[in-house]
Amino acid sequence: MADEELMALAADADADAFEVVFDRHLAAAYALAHRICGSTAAADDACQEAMMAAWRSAGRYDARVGSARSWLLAITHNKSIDHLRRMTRHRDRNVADETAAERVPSGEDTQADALARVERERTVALLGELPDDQRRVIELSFYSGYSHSEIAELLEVPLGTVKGRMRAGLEKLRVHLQGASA
Amino acid sequence: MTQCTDPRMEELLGAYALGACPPGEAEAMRAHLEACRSCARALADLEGAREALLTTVPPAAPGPELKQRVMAQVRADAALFAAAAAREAGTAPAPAPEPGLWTRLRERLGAPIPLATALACGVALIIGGVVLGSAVIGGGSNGGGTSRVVLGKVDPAAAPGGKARIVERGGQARLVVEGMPDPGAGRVYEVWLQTGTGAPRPTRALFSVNRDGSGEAAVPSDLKGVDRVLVSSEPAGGSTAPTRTPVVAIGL
Repeated sequence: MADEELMALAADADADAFEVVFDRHLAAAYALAHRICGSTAAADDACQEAMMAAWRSAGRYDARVGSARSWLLAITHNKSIDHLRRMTRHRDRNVADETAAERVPSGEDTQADALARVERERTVALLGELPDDQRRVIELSFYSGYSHSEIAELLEVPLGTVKGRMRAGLEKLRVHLQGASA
Repeated sequence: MTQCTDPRMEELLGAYALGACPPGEAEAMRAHLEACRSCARALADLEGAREALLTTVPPAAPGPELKQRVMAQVRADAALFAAAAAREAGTAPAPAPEPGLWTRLRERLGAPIPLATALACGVALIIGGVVLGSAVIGGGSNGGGTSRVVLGKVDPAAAPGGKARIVERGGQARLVVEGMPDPGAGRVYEVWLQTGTGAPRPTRALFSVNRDGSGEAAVPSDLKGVDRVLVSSEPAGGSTAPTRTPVVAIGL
């Protein structure tokens, strides 16, 4: 059965239907949460929040807008960034995983710290196609939860430059994707 | 195609697609997109790139306990709503709710908070395993005022087998819990009241639990207009906003 049909059943509280969708996309959702949160414990929490939100909001899923996979991953992205920002606000909370502590963006971070962290985590072949300055702003925003103005401050470049790099980077990715699928 | 007449908004498209706009700016962009076909089209063109970013991440495998936790909550939700559906129909427990009933029940018993609202409040109230839902198991009038008991749910990860309920009688409301863990050294449980999707409001109701996990607290406020009662572990003395994920949620 297709994801879209299963989601319709899940919207009427069919736990078995939701479990099938869950099994199909959990690995992708978890990998995304782990990429953003940076630790197993935090990724577990964010992923759990995301999946419960998806289950309880299943009635809001609209197959005309996009695939169930994209919808689930978008929720996971939001929850993971939310989780990361909450950790930032509560830095005094216990963070058992040193990696997670390292990953928390903070106003106290130095530019070198933040950029080194992003550099270590650079993984993606697709992003590797981009000029470094465009890749950096995309990674800092999409995976680390920084706003455009925070990135401008971090990189010590004008805000307009950051916005321009974001748009240009996404445009290049779009062209690259179109070329790859042609 | 008509060109965008607001270059400030057009310049923001990339940041908006990446989720890098602050809330006010994102709201302005959403309003702009309603009216500007040029920007809406440009944003749609970027959607593929944004979706690619969602999946081009290093693989990481979740442990089996993650699925166990999530599906335990999902099945608890499903059972709760099936039972509520049967109760609403005045029948024995039904095998499955009728189509659409889930949505109606959620509206009646307390719908999940939209993601954007949760983000804006800084607290995700549908997180961490709290099942938002409840069932009224008794009510009526006995001459001393109306009374009712409303069952809530406890995060099974925090308190396996835990129970929580609100008992209202004669205009007084009490929160009663069972099977709850100790809130932690130097910490207490704090009761919160929530209306709609607003931020939880603190109460003066702070309590701990006995060795057997039982505890009670008078809810020092009229519950009229309150949609949910929440409980979270907070530092001794309480907090003005939840600092931890609520472990109890009771939809009124």
